[in-house]
Amino acid sequence: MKRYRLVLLSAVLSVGLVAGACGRSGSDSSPTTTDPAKAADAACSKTTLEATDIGVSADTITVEVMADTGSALAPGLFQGNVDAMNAYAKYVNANGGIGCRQLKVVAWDSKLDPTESKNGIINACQNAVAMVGGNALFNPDTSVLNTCADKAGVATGLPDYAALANDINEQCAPTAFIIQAVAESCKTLTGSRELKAFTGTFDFFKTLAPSLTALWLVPGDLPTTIQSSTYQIAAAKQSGINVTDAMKVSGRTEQSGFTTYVQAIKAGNDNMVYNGSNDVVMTKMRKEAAAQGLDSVKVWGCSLACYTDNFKAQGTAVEGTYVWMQFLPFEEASSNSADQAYVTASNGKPDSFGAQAWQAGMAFKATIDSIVAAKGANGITRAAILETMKTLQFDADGWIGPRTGPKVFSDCMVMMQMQGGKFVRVAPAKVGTLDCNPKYVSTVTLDPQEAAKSVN
Amino acid sequence: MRFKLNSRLISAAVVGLILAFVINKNWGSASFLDSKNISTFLVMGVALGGIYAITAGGLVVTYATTGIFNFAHAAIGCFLAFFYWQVTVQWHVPTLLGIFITLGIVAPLIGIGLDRLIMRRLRDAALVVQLMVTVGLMLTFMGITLTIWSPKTGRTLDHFYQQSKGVELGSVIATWHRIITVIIALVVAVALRWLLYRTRLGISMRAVVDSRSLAGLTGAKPSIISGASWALGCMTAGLAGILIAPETGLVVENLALIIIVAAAAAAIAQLKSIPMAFIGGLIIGLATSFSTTFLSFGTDWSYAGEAIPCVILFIALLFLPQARLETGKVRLTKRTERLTKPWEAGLGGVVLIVIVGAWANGWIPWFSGTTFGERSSVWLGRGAGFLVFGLIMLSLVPLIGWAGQVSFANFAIAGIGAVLFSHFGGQNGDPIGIVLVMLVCAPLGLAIALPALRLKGLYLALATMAFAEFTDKIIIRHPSMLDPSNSGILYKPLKIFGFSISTDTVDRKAFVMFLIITFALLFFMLEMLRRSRWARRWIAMSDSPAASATIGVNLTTTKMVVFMLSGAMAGFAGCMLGLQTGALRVDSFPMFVGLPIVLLLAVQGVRYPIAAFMGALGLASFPAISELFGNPAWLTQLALIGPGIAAIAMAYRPEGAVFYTGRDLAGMLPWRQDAREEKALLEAKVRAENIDKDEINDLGLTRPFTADKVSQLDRILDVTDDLDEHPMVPREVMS
Repeated sequence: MKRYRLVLLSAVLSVGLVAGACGRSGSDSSPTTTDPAKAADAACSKTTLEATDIGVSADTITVEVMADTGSALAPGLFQGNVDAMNAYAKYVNANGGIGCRQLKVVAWDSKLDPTESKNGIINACQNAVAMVGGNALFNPDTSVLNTCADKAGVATGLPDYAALANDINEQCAPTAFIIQAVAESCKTLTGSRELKAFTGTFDFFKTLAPSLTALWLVPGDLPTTIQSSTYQIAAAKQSGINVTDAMKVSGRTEQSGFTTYVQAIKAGNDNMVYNGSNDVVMTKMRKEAAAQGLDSVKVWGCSLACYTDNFKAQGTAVEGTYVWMQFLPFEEASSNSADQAYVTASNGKPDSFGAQAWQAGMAFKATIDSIVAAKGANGITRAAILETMKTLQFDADGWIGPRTGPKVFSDCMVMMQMQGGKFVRVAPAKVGTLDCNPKYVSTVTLDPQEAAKSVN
Repeated sequence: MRFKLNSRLISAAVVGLILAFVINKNWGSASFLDSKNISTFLVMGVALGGIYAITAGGLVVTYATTGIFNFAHAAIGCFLAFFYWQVTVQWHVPTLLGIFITLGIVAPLIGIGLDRLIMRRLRDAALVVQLMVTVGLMLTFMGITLTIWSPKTGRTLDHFYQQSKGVELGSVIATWHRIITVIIALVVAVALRWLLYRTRLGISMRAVVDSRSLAGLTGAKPSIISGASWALGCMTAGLAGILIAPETGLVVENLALIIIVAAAAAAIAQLKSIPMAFIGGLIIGLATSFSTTFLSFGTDWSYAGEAIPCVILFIALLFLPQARLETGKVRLTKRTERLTKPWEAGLGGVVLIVIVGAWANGWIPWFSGTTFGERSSVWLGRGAGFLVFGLIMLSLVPLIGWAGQVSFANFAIAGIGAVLFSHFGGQNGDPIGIVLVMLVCAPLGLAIALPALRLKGLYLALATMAFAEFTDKIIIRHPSMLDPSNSGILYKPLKIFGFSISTDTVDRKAFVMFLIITFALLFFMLEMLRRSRWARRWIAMSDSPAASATIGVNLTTTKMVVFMLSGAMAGFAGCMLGLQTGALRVDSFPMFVGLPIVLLLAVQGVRYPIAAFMGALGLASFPAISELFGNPAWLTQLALIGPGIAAIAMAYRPEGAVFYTGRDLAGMLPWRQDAREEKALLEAKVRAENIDKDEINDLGLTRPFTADKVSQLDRILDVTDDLDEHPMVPREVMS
């Protein structure tokens, strides 16, 4: 058994949520997948379909979704990914299929276990044309991802359209196309290096209070999660936020333990608290602050980790908390067809992991559509997928911002706020739009391991 | 006046100096003279202490009144906290009525049910069986809670008087909920102390633990008393759960695993004094608060704060009085068993190799053509993992099964072995590194044996648990052991006799074969060892240390040797674990993973080397069953509930599945005439002993009217405690 659910959520969301899916500026929706899709539909009628590669038969395209769903201590952790991919297959098959075939999804439970994650890749290599919509927290051995052989025995590699890649080895795998893009440049994985961080949130927070002094809550259960916070903190400082203290925090800590953080806020005269950990931490922090009579904080900021039903259920205790995301929220699904399709398919229980898996499914379909349009329905091979992935232009029909290529750092955001037990959009004001600006992405140069030493 | 050195004083001085050094070395920026810091430290410390104290108090009262250390205590409290949420929040039952339903009705029913179904059967069971059944219960309650109340759904349990401000102490506010928690913990401690020492019921509860028959002679009803004890234990667990849940959140892991901290507080009370458990809880709370407020451990020791409870547990155990050699109480924990002959052990090893080898090579036809158990790369990788865990279980057989030294530390030693192997040769695929690791892990086992020289039984088990937690939080997480910036694979394939052994797809079959061959060799070695003078000494020591010492057995040497042997074997298993995992994380070896390993072995029979292989098969059964049913979501909790139920079954089969199955199957072997005779004898005895109501009139006529028959009659008429008269294994067989 590998780790507590809370720890895991912290890990996932702190590592992954630095980055984000790309978005679109303003209110214009510019779906880039429409034309290839139409061309693909046209190509289907002219072709006698063949089995072209592993996972591509005459009538079916098989993909694997690998996610941590069955760990005993964290049951259903990323079940949203699996549910979303299954729902996506139904949706696609009901709307004409994919690559002139039906989409078949095989689920693999990686169980928060590196060995099962590697087994999942091996299984996909043997049975599926690609991995799509996955979210495996511990996936350090991606050698099979890189060396997987195709039907002809050529080591093409295995396409991996991951919803979220938490392990640096998967993030930087050459065959990976990651919806929640990565901060790493992947030139080197150790030492001092350039890392990207999203700063649009800080610009927004500064509009609420020009002079912000902040306490940063760092998910402290794993060294990697601490390190991944360091460049976000550095970026916040670059943006003009005075981070007076960065303190490790754990969802397992009793609420009484948060008294220390409240005292630190008082000592630092902080008017902002940013939580890089999960919704449980933010809930306890808010409740303890209320219990201690703390009212000086103007900005309670949290990452996508707080965009959960659990957080909403806390009601007035978390009132006013800002939560930012890089896709259009579920609350305004009616403004976007892809968002609406996912929310409908999820039976009214969407979650952010599932949304990213659905987006990964859309990216995969966009790739297949491009291949079919260019090479015909019998041109679908792993090699073709990997080749097309490199230049794929994709925006999930406007649900996220436009992106080109497998690893792109988003410069878009939507800022939501808890108001009366609901998430309400606060920026940009117009429903169905993302706030995108290249200035929202900063580059910092540091060695995360060294920088982690300054976290208390 | 002559000054006499007292060993406890010396220990206290040493511990004090070490603590002073650690505090001085890691002092942070906060000033101890600042009243704000002091008030934060005190208010937070007392609040945390109240939480730990109330759980520890329940743990102690359960132990004092039942004689069983209940690992499931906090998990039961967790279940009841969720039930309370269901009643008060979902069903809108008023708070006081909800508390009454939860603590006054449901908790006692759970306690009585546990007593009737499970606990009374554990009375004379070996310590490892008692502990593992409660670990199984813990897993079961966690699984049931997760099944009923999905963790995906948001739930919140408010603090009592949440809207009221509380009491301002300096710059910190003590909320009414926390004040109430501390007061209730104190009141419960005093009340339970009064109950246990000043009331007939309480005295009977303690008397029944000491001697059921003697207590029965004084008019106590042992069956009813033990039921009441468990009911009381569950009520305290529920009370703790309801008070703690608003602080931890309604999160199963947070609530159930608080048992680790509570165990430390209970150890301070030596598992006897409830008021001391309260003080123990406060000490841990204050120590945690002190470290949070004033200390800064830096990145090298960044998880030291989490290790505070286990350090306190260890220190508390250090100050326990030396375990005395018990006289006048020789308990034969096992029947005289037939020793496996060398050729039988050799044949057994070969059979293991043949079975696994046939599977690994895809020669077992009935699995082919289906996904279930198919010999694929995936299953070969899993098979290697199961065999590695089998090796860790094998290392526990001489230690727990023969020497009776219950240890939860072997998984931690394996973890250290895995990490060391990444430094000592694993990074080059050098097999000599395995030898080096074993040479380090053997004395490491010896280091764990040091407390074993003073402690025994449950206290030793808790000490090894503390070691495992310390290893996880302090040793393995140190950057010089496992560099957190390392990513990816830490090991190169092991090169032995031209074979490449690793977790890579092409090497997996060779890895499985290597593991089963080494497993078979170690199995053979242990079976031979069982025939040796050393094993006889270990077993004698386990049965009666006093008698062993009387006949000249050096208990110190005997204990040290078995811990070294076990440590070396665990170190080897650790090397294999590293190789099998490929990549290690700092949290790869949590203490609580070591518990199910002991559990799986105990379910199979902790005294038998073959049980380690069966335990590995048991592990394999979970993914196999899940795969057979198409990996449905509803089977997710199987990993928790399954071992839990298996462990509970131990209450009915304390010797382990291997013993009972082996007893039945041995008679089928042509050369085991002895087994056939023994089985026939056993069946005849059972037939002779069993009567039913229809046969009562025959007593004295066709059946002899013996004392045994009178006891059976009492049992049938429900006027006696049946298990006193009818242990699971008949006395004749035991002797």
